[in-house]
Amino acid sequence: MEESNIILFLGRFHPLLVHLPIGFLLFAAVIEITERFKITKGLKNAVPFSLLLGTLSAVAASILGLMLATSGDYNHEALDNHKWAGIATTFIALFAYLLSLDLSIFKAIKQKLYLVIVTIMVVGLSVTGHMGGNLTHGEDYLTHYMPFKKQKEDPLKRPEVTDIAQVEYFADVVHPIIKAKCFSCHNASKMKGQLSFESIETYVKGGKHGSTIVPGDADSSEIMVRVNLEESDKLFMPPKGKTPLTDEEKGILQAWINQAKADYEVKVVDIKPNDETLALVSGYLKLDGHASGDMVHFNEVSRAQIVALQNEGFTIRELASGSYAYDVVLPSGEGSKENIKEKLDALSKIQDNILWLSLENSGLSDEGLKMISNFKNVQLLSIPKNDISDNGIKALSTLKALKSLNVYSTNVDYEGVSSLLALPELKKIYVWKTGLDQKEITLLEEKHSDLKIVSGI
Amino acid sequence: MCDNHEHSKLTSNSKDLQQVEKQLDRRHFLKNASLGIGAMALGSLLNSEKMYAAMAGGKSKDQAILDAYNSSRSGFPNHLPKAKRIIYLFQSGGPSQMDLFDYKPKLTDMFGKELPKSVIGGQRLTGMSGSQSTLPVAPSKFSFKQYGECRAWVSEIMPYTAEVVDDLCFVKSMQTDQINHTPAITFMQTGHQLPGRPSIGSWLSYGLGSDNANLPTFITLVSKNGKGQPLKASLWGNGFLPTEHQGVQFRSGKDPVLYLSDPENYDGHDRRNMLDYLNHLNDLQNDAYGDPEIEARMTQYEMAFKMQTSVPEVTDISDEPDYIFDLYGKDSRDPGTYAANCLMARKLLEKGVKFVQLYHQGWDQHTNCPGGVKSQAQKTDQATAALIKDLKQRGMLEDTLVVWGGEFGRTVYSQGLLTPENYGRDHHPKAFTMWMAGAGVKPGFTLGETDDFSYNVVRDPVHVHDFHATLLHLMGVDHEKLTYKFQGRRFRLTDVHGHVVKDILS
Repeated sequence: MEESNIILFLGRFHPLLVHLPIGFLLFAAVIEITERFKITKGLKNAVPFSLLLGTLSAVAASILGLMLATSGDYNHEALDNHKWAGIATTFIALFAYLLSLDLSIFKAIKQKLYLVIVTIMVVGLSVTGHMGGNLTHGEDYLTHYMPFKKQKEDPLKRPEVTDIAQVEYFADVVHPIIKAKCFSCHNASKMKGQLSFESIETYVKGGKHGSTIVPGDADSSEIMVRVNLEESDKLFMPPKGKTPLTDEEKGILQAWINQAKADYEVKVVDIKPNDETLALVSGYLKLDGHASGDMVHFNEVSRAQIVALQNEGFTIRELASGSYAYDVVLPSGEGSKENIKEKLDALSKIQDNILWLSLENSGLSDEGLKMISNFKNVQLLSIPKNDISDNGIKALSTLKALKSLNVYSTNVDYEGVSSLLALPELKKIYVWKTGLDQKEITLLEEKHSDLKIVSGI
Repeated sequence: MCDNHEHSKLTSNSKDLQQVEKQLDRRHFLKNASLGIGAMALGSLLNSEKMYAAMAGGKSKDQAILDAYNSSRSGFPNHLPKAKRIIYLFQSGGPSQMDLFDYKPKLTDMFGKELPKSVIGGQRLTGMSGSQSTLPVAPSKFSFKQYGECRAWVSEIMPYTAEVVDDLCFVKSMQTDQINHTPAITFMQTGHQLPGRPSIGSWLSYGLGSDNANLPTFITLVSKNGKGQPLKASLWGNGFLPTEHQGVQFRSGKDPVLYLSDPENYDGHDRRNMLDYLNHLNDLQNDAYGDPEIEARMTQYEMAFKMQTSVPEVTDISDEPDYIFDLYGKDSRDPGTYAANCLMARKLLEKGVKFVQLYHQGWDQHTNCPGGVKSQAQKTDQATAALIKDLKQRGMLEDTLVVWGGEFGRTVYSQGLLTPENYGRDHHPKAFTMWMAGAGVKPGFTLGETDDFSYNVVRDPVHVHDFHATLLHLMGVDHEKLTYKFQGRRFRLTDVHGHVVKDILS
């Protein structure tokens, strides 16, 4: 969905181009020094030219920088500082260039000012460059591998998770939120309100109010009370000027305290999360595609396989982008008694990836149903208007994920439907124009209270 | 006929003309090579070749067309969807919620009394009733009963809908920002009160693409037996989205889509050839100008070609059995009526159309509300319920979402003279009732509540933006992620608002 954007395209050349003014301007400064100390001779003439090139390239770099800034990807405050420092440095460089030209109007001030200006220019250049580097690479990039640095290891740090089944609720979700939003004031060295989120012990201990986190009761947990106050409230956390928690983050903390009883070891899946909690967590961790609680994993299917099936007449739709879970439809009438076996053979290559399958009026027979009985992840199966009977339907009892079965206008009868009642997820069976009568339907529904059997008008 | 031109550059045989062509080429080169424009032209150039490239990759023509249509679709759906298709039964004019579903028994004792100022809460009324010296409470003339296992209240004038309440999910706390028809309908359909934004169906077409090369993704039907405030094409328009995403209106009458049938004395035998050649010409234009409208037009020509066979087939309801016509009511045999449109909508959904937008006008009862509402109910009630039943017995309610509702509600006070037999009702944006049914919503459920006057929402308000966010959610789309950049800003159906109404999700 990304459109081309000429502004941003050009803007991204900013990090490349900035090195030109840095080079030219520093070069001018270096010549000034080496000439003064007589290390070099006769290079002085190059100074104005070098300053000119530096100024021009600084102007170009500034313009590209402003273009890049339109992306909005950067921290506002840091960006602002870098922007104004850059613009100021550009003007200082221009001034230095004009001074270096020996123009008569500057005669009076040149002697005193020139060296000062060049010095300011070098300082400005360094500061701007450093701020730019921080913007691009992050604050701790430069000092990350610094020897003898005071090591600040987070004892709760975890490797990155990619699979919702592995997610530990506290360590992977709750703590990173706290770390991002609360930790700067509540850590071992800066324990505001005597509260630290340094380790599990300090979490449990809480702050001076004691009841920071009350397992099972978010409403009496001080942490939830404080983040949910009006933003204007004096007691609102995080305090003014810091980024408040988002609704999603609050929801995650709330569910952790209430549903997970503030357990520090539990995995998210072990608390049997509802869809909402699961969506919050997978949304926060950016685990796409499995946001609606279907924890089935699917193997990759190649584009060529999909094209081959499309050429067989199947309509294939990926249910969620990047999930490799598919909704497969054979349009009514595309299949026939003669070719359905062939088509199902082709389809069986992606059989574990099919969640929704519709084969209306496709010449499907009991034999074909035996093949479908291997499509183990199918949740919605729609096979109306086919010559299928109880014998074939019985084979479907292997489809443990099946939620809904549509067999309207087929020869299916009481016996076939009853053979499926043990399926754990099955909620609906559509049996209009089959052998089942109302009495049998009532009987089946009584046996299986979760199940709705839908007949016709 | 023109095989010799296929994929070769179109050139003239005349020497003079060839000379001119060469000059054009050079001018072209200079134009395209200049900074910026060159880069942009390159982008669109690659795009236009996509369709032919796809065909070269071993795909069928249909699939290639679909892929070209779906080229904008990446990253969607965001999550596993509940609904595969939507049919939106738009009740245009503003159905009177307290005469249909929002039962207010306490009003009976208040007949003719002045509506308390505290209820109106300083709201600005319309010019039509705002100047009335009195605003007398007009209780509904109709009797209500509870139906189904969910014990939902339904008025006596909706006997058929009453039969299917256990499949419906009522939202009695709908709210809109608009008090007059055109802005309110536009708001309901596009998320903004001014025309120019894409309609819900266009957004879905843009985000989710099409699964069907034979029919449009987004089809609009306007019933002929409803009269009232006019509807206009911008309601199902694509706004700033690429043109192929606009809703295609099927007209009521002999030709549902105009100009699909062959003109007199032409049997269409060489139309495919003609289209291929036309595509080639359009491709040349596209190379030269890179105007996305050219691509849209090519896609549309292909679609129209397909529709020459698919539309007559799908709009022909003569092979439906009698009991189906009986189910939808006698109007269903008369093409273009609400009932016939409901039946046709079912057929369209069966064929893989993603979004059917049905409009029925005439719910604007400023005067003679009891008579008007009753006559409207007679035209729509049976067919609406029939559609639910029919989709259900075919197993389609499993993955189809049905939506029923208008652009706003109506006032509890009478516009004009209140008599025991008659009253009128003005527009009311602060509370109205809608219902949904099918994929992903709780059956037999009611969300929200209004006060005793059906005037203010007292519990679980659902704004139009929230409704939109929920629709997209059910189709697997995160309403905050479906955006389109236009005039320097990224737009969404829900603008900067909207929350998914989780309470109604099953």
